[in-house]
Amino acid sequence: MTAPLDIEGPAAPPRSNGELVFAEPWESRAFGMAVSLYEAGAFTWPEFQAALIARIAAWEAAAAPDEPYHYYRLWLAALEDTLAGRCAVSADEVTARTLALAQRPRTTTTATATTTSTTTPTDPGASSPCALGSVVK
Amino acid sequence: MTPTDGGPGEAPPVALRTEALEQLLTERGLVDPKVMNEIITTYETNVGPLNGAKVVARAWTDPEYRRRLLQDGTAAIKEFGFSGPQGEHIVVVENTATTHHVVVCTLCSCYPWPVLGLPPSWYKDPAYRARVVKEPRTVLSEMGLELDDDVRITVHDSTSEVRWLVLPERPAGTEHLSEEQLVPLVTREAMVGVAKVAAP
Repeated sequence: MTAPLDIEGPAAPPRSNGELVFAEPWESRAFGMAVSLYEAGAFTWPEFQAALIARIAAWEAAAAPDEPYHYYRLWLAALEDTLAGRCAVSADEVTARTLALAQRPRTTTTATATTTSTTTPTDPGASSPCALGSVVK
Repeated sequence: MTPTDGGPGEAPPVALRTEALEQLLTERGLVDPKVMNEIITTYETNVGPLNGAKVVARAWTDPEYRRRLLQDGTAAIKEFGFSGPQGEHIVVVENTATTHHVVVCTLCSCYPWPVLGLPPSWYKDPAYRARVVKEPRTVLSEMGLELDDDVRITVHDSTSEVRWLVLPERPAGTEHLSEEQLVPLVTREAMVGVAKVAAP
């Protein structure tokens, strides 16, 4: 867990103790989306943070003891929750687009090791004031 | 394992969902992929614990800077030009022979990005987040840091608007080293408070 300190100091991001900042490319996209949306004023950081805290708490309450923890999956879900709350993009739209992308002929996509059980946000507000129609094909 | 084609009852990989979200946001003009790329590159290559190490080495060698840092961490860190998201309010706490500070975020992963980069996986891990509050001495010992029983441990939870940075003890035997020579000794772990800085 702690590397011997005499091997190298902290002078080498992105790796510290041999750990990459992002394990997979999609994680960096999920991270970059959240930060660029925040910087563009799409939502406040505490707003996103609250959504992330809620997602993490829900996972921790429901997870089996040996279930692996995938931080960026929760990050992505929190980002979706925040955007749905702001009526920017709905979960249904993301699902529809995801399914459309899955139909693409595959050549050399990088395989993610596992498939995700993406949960649809449990819509804490229930009565969503969004006027966006969901794109269902 | 190969990715599924999103067949009936099968959830497509999370990578696809991320791509789908990015497409929708780009089409709606909410994100600019170019800006996103810059942000990612910045955090992958430029912003890391080295920033914090520079702050610590300055504090070790410049008593006036150390005073400013402990008084107003955010402002003193800004003197280096380090600022940005999750750096709006950074408080610096000093480790001594008798007091030890360690940082956690019990609810998520708050962490002072401008000085330490993005948090390592152990910091985000449910086990560290839950246990370091309850049994800091044990957790630190498991991470390789044995503290004497008479050392007082304070655990700082970053769940408020405050991000914490630990100013580690300068190791004995480094009195002859310059600020520049001290920088590479300072590790991320020491600035979170789960390790000490060792002399070279």
